[in-house]
Amino acid sequence: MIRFVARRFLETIPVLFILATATFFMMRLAPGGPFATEKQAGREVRARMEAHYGLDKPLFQQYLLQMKHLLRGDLGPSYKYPSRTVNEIIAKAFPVSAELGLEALAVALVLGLLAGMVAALQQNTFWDHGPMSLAMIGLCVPTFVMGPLLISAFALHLGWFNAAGWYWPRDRVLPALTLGAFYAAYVARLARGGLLEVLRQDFIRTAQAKGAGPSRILFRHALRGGMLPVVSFLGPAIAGLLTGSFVVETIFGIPGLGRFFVTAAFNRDYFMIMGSVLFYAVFVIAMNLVVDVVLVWLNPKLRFD
Amino acid sequence: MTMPGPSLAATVSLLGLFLFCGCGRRQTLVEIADRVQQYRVGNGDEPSDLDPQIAIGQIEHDIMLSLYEGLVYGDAKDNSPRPGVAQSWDISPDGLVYTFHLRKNARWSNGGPVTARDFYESYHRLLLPSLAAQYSYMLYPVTNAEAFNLGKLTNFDQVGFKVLDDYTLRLTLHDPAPYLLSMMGHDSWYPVPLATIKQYGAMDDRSNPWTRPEHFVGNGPFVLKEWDMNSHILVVKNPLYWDAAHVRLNSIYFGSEANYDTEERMFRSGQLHTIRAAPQSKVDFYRKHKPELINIYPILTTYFFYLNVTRPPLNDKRVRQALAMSLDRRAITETITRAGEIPAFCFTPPGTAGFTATARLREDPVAARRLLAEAGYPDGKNFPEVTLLYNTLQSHKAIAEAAQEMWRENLNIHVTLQNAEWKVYLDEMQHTNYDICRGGWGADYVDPGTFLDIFQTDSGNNNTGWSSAQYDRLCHLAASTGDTAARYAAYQKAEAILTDEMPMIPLYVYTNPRLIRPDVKGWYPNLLDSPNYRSIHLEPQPR
Repeated sequence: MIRFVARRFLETIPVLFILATATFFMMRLAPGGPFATEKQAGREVRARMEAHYGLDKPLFQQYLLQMKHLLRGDLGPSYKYPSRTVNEIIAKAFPVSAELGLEALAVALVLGLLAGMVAALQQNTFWDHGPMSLAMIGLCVPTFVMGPLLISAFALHLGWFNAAGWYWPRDRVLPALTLGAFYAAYVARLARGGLLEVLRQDFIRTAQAKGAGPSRILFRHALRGGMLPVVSFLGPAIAGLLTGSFVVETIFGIPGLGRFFVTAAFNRDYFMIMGSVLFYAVFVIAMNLVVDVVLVWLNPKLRFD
Repeated sequence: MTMPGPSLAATVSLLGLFLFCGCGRRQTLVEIADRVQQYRVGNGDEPSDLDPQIAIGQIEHDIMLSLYEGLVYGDAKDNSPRPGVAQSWDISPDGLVYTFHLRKNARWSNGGPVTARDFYESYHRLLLPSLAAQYSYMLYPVTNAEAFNLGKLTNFDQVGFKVLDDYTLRLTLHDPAPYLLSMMGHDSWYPVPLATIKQYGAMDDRSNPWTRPEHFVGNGPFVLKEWDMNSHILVVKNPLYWDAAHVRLNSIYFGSEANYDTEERMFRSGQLHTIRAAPQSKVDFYRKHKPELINIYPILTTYFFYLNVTRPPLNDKRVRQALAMSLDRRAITETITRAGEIPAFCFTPPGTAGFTATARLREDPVAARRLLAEAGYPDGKNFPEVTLLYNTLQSHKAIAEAAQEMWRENLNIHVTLQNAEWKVYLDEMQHTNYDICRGGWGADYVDPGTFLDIFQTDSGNNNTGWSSAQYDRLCHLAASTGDTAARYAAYQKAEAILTDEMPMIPLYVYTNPRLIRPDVKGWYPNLLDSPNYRSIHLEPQPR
């Protein structure tokens, strides 16, 4: 297993290198630079500002310089927020997104697994169609509709919560539900499918024949195999959840990483774009690795090779 | 399959909260804030910085106004200059020498006195070429300031700032600038704490972190307490401020929420006292159903279309005039923007520092058609493909579509619409790579020059390729005379040239639909939409 992890780790290096290179040249191709503003201060000032940040050097030289900094783990200064570094911004914003992501994940797993299990055990009854229809709706209603709907009902109408903000524990409820609902729907459908597959297999019938009760069959025998699709889905899902959702963070005024990720591109904040892209990439790769390890552990048919 | 600990705990607390959360209406944040005199402002996007020599933009301005004070500051109602750190000033009869007498009780928030030398050193820093301050040109009326800023002069002693003693500062101008005092209300004229700045890095390092709450030193009525990115900035009353006795607020909370709709929901749910502007789609609702919460007032910003005069057919003045004359501005303000905007028939908003242009554009579709025919396009025949560029925003799109339709109906020409993301739009506009392009221009201080100067040939904001030697001469004349009547006469002529040559088509003067609760007293609308925290206080409203 150590060899497996080490190999995957080595494979990551060229991936990140290519990603950083592609990101660098793609963002430089986009028209307008970080210092394009509606009110132009004159060409001299803009030229001096570009010189201040080394943007007047030849592009390839800038590329080499940035690569050198990246190797040292220095993501550079932010153009949009001159007194801050990208490292600092990510370090402050990521925990916020991660917290929201974990809470949303909890919503997704609790609601999703529960619904999925009930539906699988009661296939083709009301207890199957009901939750699965809800899940279908959950999948179809985008977060930018769900969020304002929840705010409208619970914050503006009932006054139970703040409409936006991230200060008190109760501020977590609506965003976690909004973000979690979509994933819950996914998890429910995947859990149902996975369980149904397993429940039809011979070893389950054997267990039934030996007189095992439904709960023992579910938790002892079926769950481990039935969860495989959910686990494969969770890798990228967790990475996506923890690194922040632009939409949910915007709707609920949450100071997370998702907003920086998107606004950096609008602002042409080059270092910030590069920093968030690489951070996200490392996270996704790491999560996929964890999922692969867990999958082998859950499924004896797979091996590390 | 076990669940990780924190998720479980989070779930339980989450579900618990969800079931448990209150019955009945709880107190809103503004109700609590009213009692402790905390003014809660929805301030829009995250400010880029709070260094007045680096930050540009209204968002930063509104915060910095609470943190710093210049020699003069703008009045809450009419933006006219009022004594700030300077308690008085003398102007020489020729209008070239300004002597400011600083009050002796002005203090930095770390206790040190605010002296003439602080201002001198601050202006030195602002003008350093290596700092690359975008608003350095605000100091250009001062002798040699421009030369120093452009690196043509390296000895700052030759620039027209002179410290006569600790509390006397003299400014020498190269030409009389009667608008100087109103210009000095701008952020670029604030003093900055040089000793503190040097403590945390180089004076000209744009990344210097001296504006963090733990390092911050200012001289305004409030001082920086908390700064959470994309969340909020909290400033608290500065007890060392010379006029602290008259400051009634204890603190100001500036919410950093970029999304208008989110901000409006925060306002509606009682989290904020005010937000800068209601989302356009909600203006009507507030006007009809909650008029006590909305305050619509004109601001010094003009909405217009730039015309690229370097490309046919817009290189023909008659075509430009025809396009301008065939638009129905009232229809645009009454059916599209609908917040009481004022149709504009010239570039400078009427009544800017007492200046109202006499030259006015005529709306006359018949004459417009005739002009178009004279230019070689009778009834719009053979009119080449022309594109109108705007930055992606619902309201710009609606206005562009209206203009397109008016031009089709009145001139029988087809104009293609093209939207672009903000930075792409800026790039096309500033490289004059468009036919027609949406533009907006807001004043930095109250003077017609802040508008008319941008269409000079060498202006960085001309964007149209249009150039008129006579226009440039008139603007220079206006900038170099101390006699307001002569200045305005020059600007009248300049505006007349602009209205005749039409390198841009004025559409309307903006209004600002601010949402503000009745608890807020002492707030006044003004042309620069510049708040005055000295006069604001909160009175809880009966429920």
